[in-house]
Amino acid sequence: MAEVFNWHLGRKMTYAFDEAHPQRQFVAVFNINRCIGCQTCTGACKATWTFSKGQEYMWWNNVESKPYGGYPQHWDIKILQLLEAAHQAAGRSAEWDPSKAGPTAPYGVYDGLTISEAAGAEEQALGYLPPDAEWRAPNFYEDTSTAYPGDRLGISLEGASLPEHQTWFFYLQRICNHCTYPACAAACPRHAIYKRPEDGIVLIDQARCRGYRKCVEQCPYKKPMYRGTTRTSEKCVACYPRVEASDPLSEGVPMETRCMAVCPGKIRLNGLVDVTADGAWVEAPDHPLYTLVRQEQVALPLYPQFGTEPNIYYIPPRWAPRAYLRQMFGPGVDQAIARYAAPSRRLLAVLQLFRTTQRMIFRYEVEEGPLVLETEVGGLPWQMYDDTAIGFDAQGREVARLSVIEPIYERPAERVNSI
Amino acid sequence: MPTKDLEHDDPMNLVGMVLPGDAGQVETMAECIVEEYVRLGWDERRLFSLFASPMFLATHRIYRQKGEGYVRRLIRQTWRKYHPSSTEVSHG
Repeated sequence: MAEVFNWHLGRKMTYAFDEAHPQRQFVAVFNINRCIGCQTCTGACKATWTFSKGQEYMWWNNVESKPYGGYPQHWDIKILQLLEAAHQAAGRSAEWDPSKAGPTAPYGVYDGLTISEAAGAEEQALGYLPPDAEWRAPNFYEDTSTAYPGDRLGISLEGASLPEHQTWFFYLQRICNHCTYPACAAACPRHAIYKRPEDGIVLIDQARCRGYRKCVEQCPYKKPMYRGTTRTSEKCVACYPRVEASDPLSEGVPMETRCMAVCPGKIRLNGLVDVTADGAWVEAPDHPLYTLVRQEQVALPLYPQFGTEPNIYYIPPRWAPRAYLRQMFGPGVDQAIARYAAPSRRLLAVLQLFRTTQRMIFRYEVEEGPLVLETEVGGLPWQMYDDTAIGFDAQGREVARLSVIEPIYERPAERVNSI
Repeated sequence: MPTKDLEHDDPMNLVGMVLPGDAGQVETMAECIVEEYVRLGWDERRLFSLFASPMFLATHRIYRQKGEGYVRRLIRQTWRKYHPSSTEVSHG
């Protein structure tokens, strides 16, 4: 195995292939705090990519309820258990050392085993193959079904009844992470999975794939899925015609994916970041994703300890127990929540850019506005300014302009669904 | 839907198991969600509809567990915090 540097872990780790990086990387930030689980993203992805025969149980984008939900069921619990067993067998513990945090290790150093380092002799990564039943019903047992009067759509006149959970929960939005070190690519005996040099999108070559399902087994996030009708595996393609600007709608500039572009809760921001030859992000303080992930560090990778360096980042939910969140997003959780709860002027402006345009924003500016509020957040003074965030597309054209105090215009009731 | 009764080993038979919670968790969740949307500029009428609609389970569960009065008070209190100069809380 080769040695590669994983900046999420702050150290080198073993991986199947030598270190190589794309010029740009497909990246997104999901703000969990705003998600209401409407599944519009899920429906948009389904209607675009997985509406055909053999794809009935495929949800490249899914939104699951944590802590009790998952698609496939219990995917993260199962991989965490496998990883824990590997640590016990090796006499090690999965611990972080945040005191070693620095420019190349923003979350500190992870001293435990990754799924690649914990793999058996015959495998590239620790994993398991979920049985069919676990793919069958996304959101099974998650949402509390209830009886309510049927509406004009005729939904649930009788309803079903289940006891209701009494605990906190949040929605976790999931697509392929287009990892820097994808376990699916490492696992494939046919070398059918590749990471594109132009944007870091991870794809399965359908002509080479023979459906061995090693990618399904070894992707810790369980995002490759097997299609029985073609006997191949498929996965999220990051809506690459939109990212490439080859979609007729794009007018020659990269666009956000379908799941990002439809979000009514304005929780997603998607773009491309420049990457150096050694895998670091090129310093770009006026890029919104760089600001969120590297400067403000409010957006964190999902289960960084798996070691694949995922490229979808999450602003963790403020209300969930910290121990749970640290396990899910690493040791940067406390700082991320503190900064998000009382955002800086720059951060508050960048948060306005979420879901304002279908075009990817490559650069932003902030025009300073007046002080509009002085209050306390978490017992500390906090000031809000009505600044204006301006976003620019790949060609430097202005594509978004929003103030912090943004007026709301509602569609008239008679045309509420006229899109 | 089939009309025959489910057999005990049918994996599709709904069996609910409650995940217990600690006191205050639902309230914390409600406060954070309301603050998110008030900061986005949602007024009481608009935000309350998220709680009243059974289509949005996170907010609707809070509504059912805590009641309409709690939700409306929370929205008004949060609105006043972030819009102290506004005289109008509800547009509906």
